[in-house]
Amino acid sequence: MGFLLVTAARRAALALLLLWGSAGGAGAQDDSRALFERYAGWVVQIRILEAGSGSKRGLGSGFVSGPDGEVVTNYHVVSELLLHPERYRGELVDDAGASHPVRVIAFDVVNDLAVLSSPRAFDGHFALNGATLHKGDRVYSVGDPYDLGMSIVEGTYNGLLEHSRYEKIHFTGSLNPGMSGGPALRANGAVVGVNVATAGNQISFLVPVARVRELLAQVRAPDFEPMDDPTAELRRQLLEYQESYVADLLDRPFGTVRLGPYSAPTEPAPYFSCWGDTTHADDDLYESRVHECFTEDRVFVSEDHNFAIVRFRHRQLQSRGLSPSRFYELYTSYFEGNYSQLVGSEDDLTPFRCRTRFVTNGTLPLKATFCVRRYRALDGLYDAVFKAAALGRENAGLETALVMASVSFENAERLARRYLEALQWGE
Amino acid sequence: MGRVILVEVLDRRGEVRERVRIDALPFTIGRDYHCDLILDDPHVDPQHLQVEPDAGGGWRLRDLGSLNGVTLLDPKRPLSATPLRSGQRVRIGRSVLRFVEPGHPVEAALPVIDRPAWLTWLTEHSGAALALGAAVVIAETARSYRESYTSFDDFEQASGQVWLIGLMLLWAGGWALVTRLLTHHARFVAHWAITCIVALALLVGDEVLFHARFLFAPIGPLRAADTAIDLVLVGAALFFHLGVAGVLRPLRRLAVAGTVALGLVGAYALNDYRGGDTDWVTVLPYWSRLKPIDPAWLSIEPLDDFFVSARDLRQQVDALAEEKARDEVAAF
Repeated sequence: MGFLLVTAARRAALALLLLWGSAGGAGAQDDSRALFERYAGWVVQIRILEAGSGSKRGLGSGFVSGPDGEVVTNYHVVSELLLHPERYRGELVDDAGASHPVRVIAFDVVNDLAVLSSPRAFDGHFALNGATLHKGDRVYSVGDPYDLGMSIVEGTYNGLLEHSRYEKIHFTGSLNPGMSGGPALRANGAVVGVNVATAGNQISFLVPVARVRELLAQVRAPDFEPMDDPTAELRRQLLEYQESYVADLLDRPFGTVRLGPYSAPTEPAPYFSCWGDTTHADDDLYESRVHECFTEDRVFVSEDHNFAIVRFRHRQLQSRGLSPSRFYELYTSYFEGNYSQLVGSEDDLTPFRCRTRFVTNGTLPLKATFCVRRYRALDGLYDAVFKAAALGRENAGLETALVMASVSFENAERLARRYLEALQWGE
Repeated sequence: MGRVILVEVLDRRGEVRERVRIDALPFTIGRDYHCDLILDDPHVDPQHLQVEPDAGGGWRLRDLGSLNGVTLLDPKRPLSATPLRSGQRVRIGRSVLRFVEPGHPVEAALPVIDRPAWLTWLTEHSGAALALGAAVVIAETARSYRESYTSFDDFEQASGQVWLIGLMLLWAGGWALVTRLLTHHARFVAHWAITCIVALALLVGDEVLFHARFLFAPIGPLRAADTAIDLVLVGAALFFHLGVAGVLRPLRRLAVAGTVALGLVGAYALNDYRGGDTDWVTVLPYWSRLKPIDPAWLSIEPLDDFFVSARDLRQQVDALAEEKARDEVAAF
């Protein structure tokens, strides 16, 4: 899933795309034209500018969503502004091309939303009471792709994502970088969602408008105060998010999957999507069986840090002609592979620290390792990787990795323990 | 005068450069052409030091009023006049002299080839040296076979072994060339035997560490052991190669071999340490080696103990985070 923020690299990549050209998309419907003519004035471009030179750092879209001129966009459009206020400033560009400074007054990192205020007054705002949708309903998405100018894209509503704990709308239509934060509308102009991400080939995602209403309700509450410390707010939201996410997982029994002589955890919740495959080495000396589970719940924290909170993979190896010591070389080479995919920069995170021991969960002897690193500025949030390899068989092995991003230490321990308990002999 | 004494001029390393018998007294030492021993040392007076009879019928040394004086060595002290004894060393100017009687012990002869008996034996049995080469090839083949998990590829194996043997031949050949230049004999077989034995020892050392990595030897000591093994083996190789080349006395040879080995291994270890012990935030530093060992042989702990012991990881990363936070105001 790619987030729809335009950056310099992406803008450069567009040149390639344009060389190919496109003859499609002719014959704009009257609906689209009427919508665009009526509502384009309430959609703005959001620019993140480098404070010193004023160069464009990132571009997104936003829309007017309240009587006081509140502009809604994606958190990921303004994340740099929030995390590095000393380096960047933000502005909105209206349909007349005039720019006005903006300030982030609230955000929801989990649902990727932010509310901005600006001195610009608008002559009205979008309605956020989007009616019930059915698969196949026509939806129009508005935004400014690649800084090419405000555009409207016609597509289809295709329900909510199944493998996500947090609701996202599956929109079949071409969203492109720069359209992030723009509104998706019904023909009557009611907002149904906010452009957020794409997986290419017309597969795009929207944040449901209900999440926008919730965030705006907070902003309009009488006791609302614009936040003054975005990092503290980010920490609070992420802590709350992981707490409910992990609590939900721990409330359910893990499913189990049979992998050779072992059984291992799978589908910890319905919003997990699990995949598997078996491959044979070219010379048929061994066989490798992989089983992997993940969700579409990706949280964007910063440009080099977006993650799914829980992910895991098992690999069962079966020797077909390798001596035990050679088979264990193979086993080692897989066990030392880094599945974590946890990226990040040294400015934001500490290095990992690991503890490795031979352990048993009562039935299965394992070599287990537990590694953690901390978010430097987000006290109480850790990335944890739990790895284990079953011992005791000369011709079979099971190595497994559980990756937990941005969780509390206690939750990482609880999940790892539950996970380890679910690893068993299959017989 | 029935007594016989020789005066020796020593070089910086203590080796004798010149030796003169004292035939008659007084015996003068200086830069002057009248002296009995002429020293071409600009810091020595024309008439600097004299050996002369003393009142008791013995011999003594006397400073002839030199600019820089005379220093008695062992222990060091200035001298104006002192009775002469055998083995006495003195410094005048920048030269060191030693007065010895004929009974003074001299060092044993330096062997033309200095090598232990086992090495001589190997040199005389070229079949054994050949067998050593074969042993290296077999050990290396066994290692690469054990470490692979694809079908055995004869050609790839063979080419790897050819490389290894080629490298060893080059090494032994290099030493043989040096030996030939210094002593007119190449002594290739001896150098080859040393090369093979060190290669075998390195393979065995790797094997030991390989097993240690399966268990949880702490990272620091294991790395130190690795370095120590390399150091000892490289040092031993240099010591024996130099011995075969017959150039230095054993103690000096030990010092040279030790220093060079320390330099080489130290530089390598330092580089490894810089590159290996990275603080890169995506690397998981843990022991991943697995071995087909019966779990009954291992010390296995219950889950509870494992997670309790893992709790101090939290303190560790918290401390790392605080450390950085003190340095700068983190933005993230």
